[in-house]
Amino acid sequence: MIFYYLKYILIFSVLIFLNKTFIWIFSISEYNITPDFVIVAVVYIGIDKGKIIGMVTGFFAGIIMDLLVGSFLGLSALSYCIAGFLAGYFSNIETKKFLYKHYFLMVVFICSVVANFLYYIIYFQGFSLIFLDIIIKYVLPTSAYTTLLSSIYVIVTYKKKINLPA
Amino acid sequence: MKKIGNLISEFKEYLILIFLVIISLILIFSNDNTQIRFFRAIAISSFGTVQSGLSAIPNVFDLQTENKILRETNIRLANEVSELKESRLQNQRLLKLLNFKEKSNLDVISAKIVHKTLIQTRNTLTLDVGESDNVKVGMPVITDAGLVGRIISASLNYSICQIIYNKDLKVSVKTRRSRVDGILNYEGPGVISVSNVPKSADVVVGDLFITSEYSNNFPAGIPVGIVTESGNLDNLFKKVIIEPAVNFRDVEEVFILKKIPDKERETIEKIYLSGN
Repeated sequence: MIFYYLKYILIFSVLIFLNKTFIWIFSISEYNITPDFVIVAVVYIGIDKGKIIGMVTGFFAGIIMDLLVGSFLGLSALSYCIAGFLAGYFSNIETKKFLYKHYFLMVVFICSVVANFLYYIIYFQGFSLIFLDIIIKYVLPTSAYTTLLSSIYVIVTYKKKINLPA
Repeated sequence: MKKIGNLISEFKEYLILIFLVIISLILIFSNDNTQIRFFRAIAISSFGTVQSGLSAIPNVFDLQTENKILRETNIRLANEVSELKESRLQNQRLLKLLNFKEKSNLDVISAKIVHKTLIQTRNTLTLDVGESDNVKVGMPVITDAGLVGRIISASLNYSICQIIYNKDLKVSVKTRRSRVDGILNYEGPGVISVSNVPKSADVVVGDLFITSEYSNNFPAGIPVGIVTESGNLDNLFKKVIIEPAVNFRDVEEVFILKKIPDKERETIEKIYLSGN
């Protein structure tokens, strides 16, 4: 049981570390687009374990991200928590198949759009950016790029067979 | 009672969601809280240790190029130092003649950048020096090229520098040539502007903005940036866009000036402003 949780803690630690330290490798800095690996993991947990585990995981992963990034504490926690909750809606026996198919990308995109929307709307308070600018320049590109990179996971696990109860 | 229990059980997912959302909002609205700053300092300090080790990795590949650039810079700086020494002596003589008090020299702390963010809207640098090196919140950060920002948080061995690519940093500036005043603002993705510049002011492309004497946070005369665009914003003010003097993409070392804002001046200005 301890190893079961340790596995997830380790995965999240690696992803947060990757997101914080080596994000420049994956960033398209000319357009301020950075992928978010943590949200992909939060969505995965949400689909696999349900709404409660999804949002609690998202909340704590967000808190750690906020502490390390030095921006608003609580902002990533809020957006990841909502993403985990949303992903939980796709959590049932049938939809767990999503985890290994391209539908997973659709769920990542939906959750990413909602989470990034919340994040950037609060983050850009006080800026002269208009609502449409935030959507077009930040929310959609970041979500699309995150979804694109999460396809790596889908490709890797494409042939993985899952044993689901009848 | 049983009904309430059933109701809670039925809606527990939503109740947990509401609870977590409220906690997040409380945290967002209490970002300046001392305890939160303390936890953040601990997190940054621990993570900074790891990043400090990793920051050496890319340098291995660039060492040869870096050495060449450093040698060239060293020669150029040696010449400049020689010229500045001469100018200082001349300046001292003139100041004595005018019976002015000589401004005291500011000590500096050199620091290595262990992490930086440049593509956010509140960008910062993590430096490998902290309170144990006498770094204090409010100290200005510069390079040989110009203004970088100021220290906003410091743990024992690390500190966070808020750079000019940060919405929260406002700096009083003026043009070196025509002495026109303005306020430096970060407009978002890569754009730095100078606001409050009257339409009639003499500001042209190529003018250098430096820190002004009006600023309590930065010493006057530090280069900030060069005007790249100067047009009309509205009927009253100009739209002035500048290119920072410091190349933030390449910078690896900075200097922290051992100068903290004058508390007496800060207090009297705060009292006056709150009275109005």
